Amino acid sequence: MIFFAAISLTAQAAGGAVILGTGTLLFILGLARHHLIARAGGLLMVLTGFFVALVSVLDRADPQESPIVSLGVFAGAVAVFRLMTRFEPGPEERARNP
Amino acid sequence: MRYNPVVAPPPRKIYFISAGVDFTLIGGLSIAACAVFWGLNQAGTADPLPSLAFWLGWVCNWPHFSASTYRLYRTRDTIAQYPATALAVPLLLLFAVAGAFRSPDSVAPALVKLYFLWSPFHFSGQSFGITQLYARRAGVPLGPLFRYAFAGFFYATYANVVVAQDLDPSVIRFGGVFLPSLGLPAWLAIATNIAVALYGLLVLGAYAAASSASRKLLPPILLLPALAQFTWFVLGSRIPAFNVLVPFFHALQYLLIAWAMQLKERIDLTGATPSGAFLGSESLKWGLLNILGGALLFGALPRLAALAGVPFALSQPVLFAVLQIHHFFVDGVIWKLRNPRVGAPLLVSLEDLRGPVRVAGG
Repeated sequence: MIFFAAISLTAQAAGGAVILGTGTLLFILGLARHHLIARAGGLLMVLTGFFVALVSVLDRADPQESPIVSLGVFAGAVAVFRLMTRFEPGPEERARNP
Repeated sequence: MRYNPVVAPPPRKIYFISAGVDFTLIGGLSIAACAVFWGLNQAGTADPLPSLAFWLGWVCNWPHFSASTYRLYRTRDTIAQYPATALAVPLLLLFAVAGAFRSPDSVAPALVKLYFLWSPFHFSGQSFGITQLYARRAGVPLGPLFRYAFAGFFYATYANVVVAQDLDPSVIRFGGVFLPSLGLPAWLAIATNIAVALYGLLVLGAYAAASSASRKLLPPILLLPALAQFTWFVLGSRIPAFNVLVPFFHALQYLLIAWAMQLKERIDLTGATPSGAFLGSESLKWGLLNILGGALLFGALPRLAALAGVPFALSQPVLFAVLQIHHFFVDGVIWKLRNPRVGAPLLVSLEDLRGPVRVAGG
């Protein structure tokens, strides 16, 4: 039972990572092509993927058992928050890149 | 036809209102408050105003969220400027709320935890933005070293406060939601302390170097947001009675700038003579609107959810978290100084707003 719970948590975190990675690629594509929907949609996927992984990580029985995971989540959070500041271009940026 | 050009406006003033008022609202009040609460703490005196943070929330904290929501949603034009932020983000967050209400033991803690991690990051971004704003107002270009030093300092203090809250493996309770700790390693606390010290020295060094290069002391208010954030996240973080007031001080900074912006826009839009009565009535209307907006968002919404069957101990923390996450997105788009519709109005002062428009020629 515990084994299957652990597998499902790991699968959930992996699923979150896949969503996050796909979103990152979409965001980069959106930036390169000045495509608002791809850019914003990609970042929303990044946020969703991170959140799915966060749910999994917070469900750990002992948070101090794996400090690398904790550090990864913290660093990931900072990276995600930093990315979100580029969520949507303002009218001046859109005017420069129609 | 006679041409009456408007002469160039007078030289920019550094302060929105005055040196005293700006210093007070941007961080001076919080530094003074920290000193008072530290003294009380040392004397073993209990918090003399335990309900202060609660009441200030209604007149300052929640209105500041309302003010930014108002700025984004006030017209179709403003929504159209940022459609993803105005429409897509709330939709995603609605799903998150639904998930949190359905899974109060796993999704709700993660959602509130996300907010707890993001909030001080947002504070840091605002502090950095205010520093840049005053530098622009003072006509002081922030070179790469200055920007690096300030950004490093603000985000080092952010890391410091997150590490402090997530070092202890014990669970924090927020309303009816129990937040697990990330369980960060103890050495990270030492590392962030060192980072704060190093970047702090770098900020002071950059300030001294820039002052020396310009042969005059740069406006001290450039350092105030950094000093305030150091007070909030480092010095005051272990004084609980002060710590609960930090969101109030953050909101106070925001409201000064948002208020100035609002007045400038109203004058430009209405073409009204910016008399004291006009400025007073516009300020009052804006203030009351935001107090009401804040009350609706943070007071009514959780209670409406409770009426719909969600326990209030769950609806309140979840909706608090989601409304604030939405605010982080909104602030990230509506305050871009590079946007002339934002940057230009933020260079005026109250004196500029009230001064007459001087007309050249006969």
